[in-house]
Amino acid sequence: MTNDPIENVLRKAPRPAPPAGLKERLEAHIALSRASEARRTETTYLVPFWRRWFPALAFGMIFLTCFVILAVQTNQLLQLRRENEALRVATANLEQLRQENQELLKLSAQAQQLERLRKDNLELQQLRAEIENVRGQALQLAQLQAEQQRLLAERAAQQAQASVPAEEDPFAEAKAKAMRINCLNNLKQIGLAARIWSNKHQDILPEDFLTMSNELNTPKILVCPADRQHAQASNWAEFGPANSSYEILSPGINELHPDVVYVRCPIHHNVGTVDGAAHQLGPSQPIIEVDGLKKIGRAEAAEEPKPANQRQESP
Amino acid sequence: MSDPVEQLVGQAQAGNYEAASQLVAQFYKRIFAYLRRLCAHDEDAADLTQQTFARLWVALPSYAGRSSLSTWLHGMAHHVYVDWRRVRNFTQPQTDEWWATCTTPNPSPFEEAAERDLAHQLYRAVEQLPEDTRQTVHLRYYQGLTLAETAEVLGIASSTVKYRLREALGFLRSRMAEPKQPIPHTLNRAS
Repeated sequence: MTNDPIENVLRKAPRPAPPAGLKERLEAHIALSRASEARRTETTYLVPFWRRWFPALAFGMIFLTCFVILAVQTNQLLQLRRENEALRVATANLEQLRQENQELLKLSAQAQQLERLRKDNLELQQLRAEIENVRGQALQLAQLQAEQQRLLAERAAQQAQASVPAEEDPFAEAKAKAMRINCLNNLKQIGLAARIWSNKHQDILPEDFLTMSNELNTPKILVCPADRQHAQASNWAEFGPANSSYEILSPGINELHPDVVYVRCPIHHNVGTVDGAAHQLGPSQPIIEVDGLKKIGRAEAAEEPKPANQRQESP
Repeated sequence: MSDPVEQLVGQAQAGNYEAASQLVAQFYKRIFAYLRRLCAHDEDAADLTQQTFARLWVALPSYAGRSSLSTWLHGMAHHVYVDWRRVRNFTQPQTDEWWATCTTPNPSPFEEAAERDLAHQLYRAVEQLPEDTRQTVHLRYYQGLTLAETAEVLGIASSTVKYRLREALGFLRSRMAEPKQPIPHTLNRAS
């Protein structure tokens, strides 16, 4: 049996007859309403746009968020991979760099050693040159010693001929002259200090050296270089009468008498006058007292006066 | 709105009672027959028909003409029947006696007794189909709807309607060949 007869039979199925009165009941219950009212009812139940599309929008947002997260993570993953590759390459180069560094250190050590050897060589050459120099000096010393021996021998012969004492110092005269000039210089400084002190004390020169200690630089100048009996004081606290070679002849004299002798060296007969000048007196030139004031007297007739250039004037 | 039915619908939407009465007269027999075959009781079918038309009057103002009124009305009847069936948990199909009483008083198209027996056997076999297949056969063959209209009433695709009809015809064919064959497993699905 095919489908067609079955379909034909089914299409010819009997239609049940409705019961009596059904049509009237249906017509009695017709309840029509206006289309406008229905539309109003429909619009009443209309939901807002965002609520209607909320599921789709929420799904879209979730999808977009997932996509963004996935993109960020993928980006981070790729970046980490690149960093990993870079680190691998760097690690591969690291071993090579270590070897190069070790080689460089070796070369540096060798260069330092070479430099040290060069310095040692240079020093060795300098020492050799010095040795040569010393050898030359030793040869000269031997020659000089021989020359000295020869000169001593000649001198001894000359002394024997001239019967001159062999112990006399040939520089003694120059030394004495130098000490005398030095003594004169000391007197000059003392005179200047006394005048400076008098300017503050009614033109009266000081009584002693300790009074004008502020005007003197050091107490060492108060000892004559030729004096062996008095010791030099290193400072004014240790200064005493035993630390001075010079003597004040006119203590407390007024500056109104510039030619009066103020201080004197008993060893060299040098004097300092009130006007601040220092004078070198000859052995025959005395110090005379005129009206109670000590002044430089005239020299003896046989005695020649000292040249003017030996008199040191005050500035 | 050249269709007379659509003109009546338009008038009923405007509040014309006569037009609504004409719509009732035009469709109530088909709807009653459809529901009567499904629920197997005259009174229940009459109540369901009344409920169907009550829904029609409520929803008529929103009718936009996207489908024919017949299809729309069958859809409402289908939903009314499904709701009623869900409440009653009704599973009793039509009996052979009913088909006999239903066909006997009226002039039958089956003049011969053999054809009449075949028809009764087929109707009985249709009532043994699963519920969704049975409703598809009712709408397609008993009510004379097209494939598209049947699909729209049931809310399924046309291809699904075709599949169900093919399955139903295959089952009916097998039943005609072997009247006492049990229902195959593939068709024994819950409705």
